[in-house]
Amino acid sequence: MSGLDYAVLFGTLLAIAIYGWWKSHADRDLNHYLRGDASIRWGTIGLSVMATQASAVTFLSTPGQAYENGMGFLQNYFGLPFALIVVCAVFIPIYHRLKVVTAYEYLGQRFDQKTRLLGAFLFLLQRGLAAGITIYAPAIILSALLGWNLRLTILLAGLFVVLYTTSGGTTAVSHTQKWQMAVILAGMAVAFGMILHRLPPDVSFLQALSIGGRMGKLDAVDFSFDFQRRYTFWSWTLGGFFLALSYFGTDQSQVQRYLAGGSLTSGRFGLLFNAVLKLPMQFFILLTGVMVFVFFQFEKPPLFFNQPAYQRAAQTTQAANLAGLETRYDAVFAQKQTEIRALTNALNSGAAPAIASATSAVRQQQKAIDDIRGEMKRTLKAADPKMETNDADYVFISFVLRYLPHGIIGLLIAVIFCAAMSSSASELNALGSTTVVDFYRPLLHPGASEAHYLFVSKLFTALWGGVAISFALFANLVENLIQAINILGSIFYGSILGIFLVAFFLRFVRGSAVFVAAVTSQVLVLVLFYSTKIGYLWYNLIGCVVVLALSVLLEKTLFRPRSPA
Amino acid sequence: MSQPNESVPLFGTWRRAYLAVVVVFVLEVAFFYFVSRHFS
Repeated sequence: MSGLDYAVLFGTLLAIAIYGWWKSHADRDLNHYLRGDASIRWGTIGLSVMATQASAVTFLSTPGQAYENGMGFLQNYFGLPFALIVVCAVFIPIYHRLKVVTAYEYLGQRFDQKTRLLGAFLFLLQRGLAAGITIYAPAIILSALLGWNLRLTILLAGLFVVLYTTSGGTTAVSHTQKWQMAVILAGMAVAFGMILHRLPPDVSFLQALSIGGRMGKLDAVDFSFDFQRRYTFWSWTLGGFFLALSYFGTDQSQVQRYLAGGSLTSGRFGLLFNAVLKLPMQFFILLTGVMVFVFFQFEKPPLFFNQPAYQRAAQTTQAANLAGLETRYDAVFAQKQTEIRALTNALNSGAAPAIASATSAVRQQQKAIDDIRGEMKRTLKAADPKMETNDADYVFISFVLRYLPHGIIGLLIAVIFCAAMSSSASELNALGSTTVVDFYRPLLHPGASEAHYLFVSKLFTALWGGVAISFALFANLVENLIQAINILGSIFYGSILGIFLVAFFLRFVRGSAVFVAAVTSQVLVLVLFYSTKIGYLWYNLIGCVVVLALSVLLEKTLFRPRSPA
Repeated sequence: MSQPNESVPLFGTWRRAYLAVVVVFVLEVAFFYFVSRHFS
């Protein structure tokens, strides 16, 4: 990074932070801190919801996912538009009518205190852990970028986010997210343009798409009915629907976004904005990863993208084995260069037999490279059994640092930071709010002044930041960041969603039945998670269905109201 | 829950707004499928 990159990075982050402070510095009461002010309109809400969901992980992991496995991950978002329609039609009107600050307050009004606390507790547990992963992601970049110790970097990055969030409140979070999202979209568009610019002059965008497609990277939609496959249209539209319904309808980090501003219409339009634009945005980010893959067909990528880890392994007893693999890799890549050139020429000529023959040859070479990479990962494990051998999260940022010009590098690092700050801010804002509104105010210290609750809200926001940082210190145990967040969500969201669906649609079920059903469902999902290999999205459906069915059964049997004698 | 008589900017009713979202989704998936098939 040059001085220009640092200037762009810190200039962008500072400008947005100052804007957030300027928009919120007049807020001195609890209501504004938790709910935001009335000037927040649907466009701001829409970008705020989008920025909350799109964390730094989205921009680190997603292009890497496309680079490794193609665009099938896009199907993860297929259930989202339908879920947002349900949230708009059912959830938001009720939250507005009851004037709740947190979604769990509604459970207290509909059922009882213990069900409200269960919902709030599951949220705090799940979101507290996820917030750790959100902070961990940008720390990877900094450590790779500056050669810093990863744990020290986590502490520094996390403390920065905590300070920003604690001082901001909901108004600042919503307004800053608008500009953070603008920086993110502009930065990714510039990166995409730069990748195309760096392709060989005789390779057009359409040819790049052809090369990516022939290497199996553009398969975005799979209509097969195999439930064991991780990405299919059906599993992600159905399972993703429940995940998105739970996330947008019951996760306070999102509920707080669309309740900001106070207008029902603004909240609904903000969500519909996401229902329409989320898929194109994810498609674009995944396509960026595919274009990086195409770029590396012509330019030799490192054998392993996490170079600091690789260099450490190269200084162990495995050095000779790694050197041998590098030699084989060089030879295969040189051969692949010949084949990819033949494919480009065939595509230019349009001769179908030549295209088919060249495609087959390139795929063969790619398989040979994949085999060498597999062998290399086993060698890295032999060098250090604790080493993380999944380097997908390093693909995009390695490309940015090595091949993009100064200034643009700073902008792309700012993109990652903006994404991290925006989602962390929402998470910590919601964690602090839920702790105060659902636990502290009703249970521990009722009847105190607004100033006291405002102070305590800031205190709990900072404390949750501490919890998130602590979890981040252990997040390098997980294989892939974005999947880790989705798996974590799927384990807890099904039960939480089940509670809310019972509340909305099964009016005869009361608190005790749904409470026991939700606890049973959560235990069942955890047992299934540890003992089976079911695709993790199905936990949303299983957890939700178990709560719905069991709560009805319990209400009709064990908790049946006694008839008056 | 939804108020059928409520006037909604651009769409008239919320039901039409939701329908528009579903139509856009179908078009988006069709486009993704086309890209997958066309370039493979």
